Amino acid sequence: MKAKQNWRLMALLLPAIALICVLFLNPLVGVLIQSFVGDDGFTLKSISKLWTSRLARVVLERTFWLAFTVTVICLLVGYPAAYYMSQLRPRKRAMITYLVLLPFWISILIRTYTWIILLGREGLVNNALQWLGLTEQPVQFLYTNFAVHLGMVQILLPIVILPTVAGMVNIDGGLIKAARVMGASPIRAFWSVFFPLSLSGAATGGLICFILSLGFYVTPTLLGGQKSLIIANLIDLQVHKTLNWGFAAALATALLLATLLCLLIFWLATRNRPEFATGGLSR
Amino acid sequence: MKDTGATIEFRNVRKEFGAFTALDNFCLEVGAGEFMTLLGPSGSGKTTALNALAGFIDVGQGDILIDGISIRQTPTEKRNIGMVFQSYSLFPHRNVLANVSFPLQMRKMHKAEVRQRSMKALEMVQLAELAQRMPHELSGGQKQRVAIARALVFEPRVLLMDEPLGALDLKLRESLQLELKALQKQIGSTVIFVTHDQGEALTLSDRIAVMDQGEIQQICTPQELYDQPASTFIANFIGSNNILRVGGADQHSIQVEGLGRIPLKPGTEKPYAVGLRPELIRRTESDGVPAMVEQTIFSGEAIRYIARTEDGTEILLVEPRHPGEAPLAAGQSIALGFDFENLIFLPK
Amino acid sequence: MTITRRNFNLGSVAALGALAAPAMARAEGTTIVVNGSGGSLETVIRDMFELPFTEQTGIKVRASAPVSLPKLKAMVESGNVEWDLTELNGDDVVIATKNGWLEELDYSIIDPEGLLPEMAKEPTALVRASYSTVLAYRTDRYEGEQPSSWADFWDVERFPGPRSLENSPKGTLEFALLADGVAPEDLYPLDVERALSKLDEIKAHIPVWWSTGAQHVQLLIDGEVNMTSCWNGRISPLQTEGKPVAITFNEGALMLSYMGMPKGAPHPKEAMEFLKFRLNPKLAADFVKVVPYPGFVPGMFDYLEPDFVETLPTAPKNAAAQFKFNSQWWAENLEEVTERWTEWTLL
Repeated sequence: MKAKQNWRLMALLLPAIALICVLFLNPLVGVLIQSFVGDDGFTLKSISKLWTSRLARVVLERTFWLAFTVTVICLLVGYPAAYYMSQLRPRKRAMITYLVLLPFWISILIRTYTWIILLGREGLVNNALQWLGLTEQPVQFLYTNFAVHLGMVQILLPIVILPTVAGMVNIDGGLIKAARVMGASPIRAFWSVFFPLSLSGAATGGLICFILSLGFYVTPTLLGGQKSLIIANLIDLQVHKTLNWGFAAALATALLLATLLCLLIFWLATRNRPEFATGGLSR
Repeated sequence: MKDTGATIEFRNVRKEFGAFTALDNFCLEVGAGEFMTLLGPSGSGKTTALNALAGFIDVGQGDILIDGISIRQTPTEKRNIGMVFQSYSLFPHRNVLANVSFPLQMRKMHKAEVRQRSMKALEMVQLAELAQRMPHELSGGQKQRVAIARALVFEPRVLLMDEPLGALDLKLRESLQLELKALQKQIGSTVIFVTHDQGEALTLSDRIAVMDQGEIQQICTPQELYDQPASTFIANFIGSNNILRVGGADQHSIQVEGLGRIPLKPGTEKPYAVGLRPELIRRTESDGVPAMVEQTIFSGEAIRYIARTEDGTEILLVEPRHPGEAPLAAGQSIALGFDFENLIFLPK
Repeated sequence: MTITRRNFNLGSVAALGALAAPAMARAEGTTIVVNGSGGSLETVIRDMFELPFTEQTGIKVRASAPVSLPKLKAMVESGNVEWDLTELNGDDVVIATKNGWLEELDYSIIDPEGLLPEMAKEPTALVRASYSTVLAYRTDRYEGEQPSSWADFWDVERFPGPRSLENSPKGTLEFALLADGVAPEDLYPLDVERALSKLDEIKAHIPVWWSTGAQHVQLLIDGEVNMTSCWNGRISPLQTEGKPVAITFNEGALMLSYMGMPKGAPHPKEAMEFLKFRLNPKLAADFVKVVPYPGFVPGMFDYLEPDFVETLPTAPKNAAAQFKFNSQWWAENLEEVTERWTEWTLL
């Protein structure tokens, strides 16, 4: 009886599974095959280039470093905001959540272009700085790593904040009271109880942010200089400029494997921690 | 028994939440080492009193003193109070030992001493072998024992317990009650225990304060409370009782429904109702109030009968069970006997 | 079954989903599909060439975009060819021809009287337009002398401020060598390393490398850069609007853009009729007035004002000041040089 019910429930997953198979697995397998196909059929040339090409290595490193720094900044900026939201009454929190989600109504492309307008040599920020006399020559904000970070943090911040808030809201307020009555000052109660318990939610947000960062394309392209270009740009280059589809596929495969590796590490690091079991989203 | 408990005093404490008055001119004195229970239905203000003492809420008016010193300005963490919560409130990210160690770590005690004292506290609740477990690996009873060990580990002079056994099943609750009582005797802390379970209150307490609508209705020992409830509300709330309305009265007697005419001692005011404990009613062969058995309830060690008198009043009586003897069947006629001195005269 | 690129592409092309079914088009009479770079140009081409062509021949023309060598490759290799004609860059033509992605053109249909100069006729592609990549600059940034050569572009002392170049080795390497003193006729074969070390000198002054025509225009008018390499046709509209920008044809790269027919194009005959139609000198002249990228259409200059001819890349004076971009060399070396370029820019 139970098994039958499970099967019925599984059936609800079918449309999603079908979509994933057609739209995700099919091209994915295609990409995997492509990394082993050369002009004369099977080849390991593209894959081995991942090791031999200094370019691929440097850009992969750069991609991970960018994803890492963006994630750290998002967490540092997002955590206090999430804490503030978690302490609000549910009604007000819902309202603030809408505000946090508001940027999602605007496409990433437009939000990124807005930074170009703001950060340009004759943009708002530079004009203000010059008007205030803080600088004589315009500051080169645009086409730097700084601009890329700014653009990516702005886009990814809600993705870090929301799971963090969800995790924090689930923390039993009684635990903080308990810590206080047992002799912890508000600050110690925060660091010894609230903070460790909020990590699961924040880690979930951070992980999503990190993985999304790895695949970013538009923002580094528009806001970054050549030194900010990451793996997605390199793949694009192989597809559209050098027509080296094999290497493009190999790079994509490498990115996919690296992402899976991150998930694996996260899973291994948290599997014995009950508070991480549900990703901090619920208890 | 060590004499380590502190005295506690609530002086005219008033606390409002919006239009709701949680505590109304609340006064309470608890002696050193006393086990004081705040008993009352939910919303009666007992938890508010506890939270005020712990410092979780600010007191609007009045004062709270520990050992005669006002603690109104003392932050929670400096009040040196042990507390056990209904929801256990164990830290899910710390193992059992680390949970129990927490209060000692907050007091910046030396590592070795923290460990030694924490293990001692765990031994006290017989959980030393589970020291390395995580809270989610424990049963409800084990969790609450850890919580008790954690509350006692720093030998607080005041121990607050907010319905600590409420989430446990009956059997476990009863065994933990006895353990708790023994622990308290051993440690000597002053305990304020909040519950809505009158049985628990009667079992554990030195004194019980019955609360209703933010005020103390009666404060006395469990026995006094049982034998001489100060109001119909308390008589109803503590144990089972037959509350019988009083009808007409003259100088010497009153008319009680079900029982008939009862003599009134000279100078006594006419009561609102009369209480009669079901276990103090006996069946007599003759000379009793005639009644008819309506329902027979077997409850293990005793048999409860619901009987109806000729004037239509329902009366509950409880008899110890005698093995081999068949209980009365519904429809059987009986006569109810009682002693006048067992009647409780109740004001409204 | 062995997996080859060909049968894999069948799947990926189908996934593109944007391909019309050629069978349907055939059933309706004839519609040829001409692939171009899209944008506002598409409207101009429709009004000036496509509609009159349909009126004259009854053959309908549908425009598609964008120009993409990978897409051409995918179409031909999958056998699912949508385009009858497509625009191509000079080196695209060389690569596409080498790989057999283009059909041979029949010049007895396109140019029956043999009026086209040899330069305009490749076996698999017809010159459609010529354009120059030149030095453009902000006229309001420098007092007195304005930059007029790639050596000036490299001279950050005399002409300070940020500049931009195309994020492509094509043309950019040539400019670096010219700035380094190489004579235009000695450019090819390019000394890639010498060009890159010359580029190292100004790398720090190039905050951004442009990749589209829209982008370099934006960079100039937003003041992000003071100079950039630039497509000649993009500047005159800005000057008309009164923007402080100018170009010099000096040391510009004269590049050719072609029209080619994908291998297996559904309507080769009709497509070549359309190519012939576009060689009408009157129509071509009207078109160039709007889009200053002239092809080698015989007799076209007769319909144009001499002053206007002056501003075209193929005007004798301008053509002489430029070097001819060598598509053949680029096609042969593209992969290697692009890889080196990518490394140089990204590392």
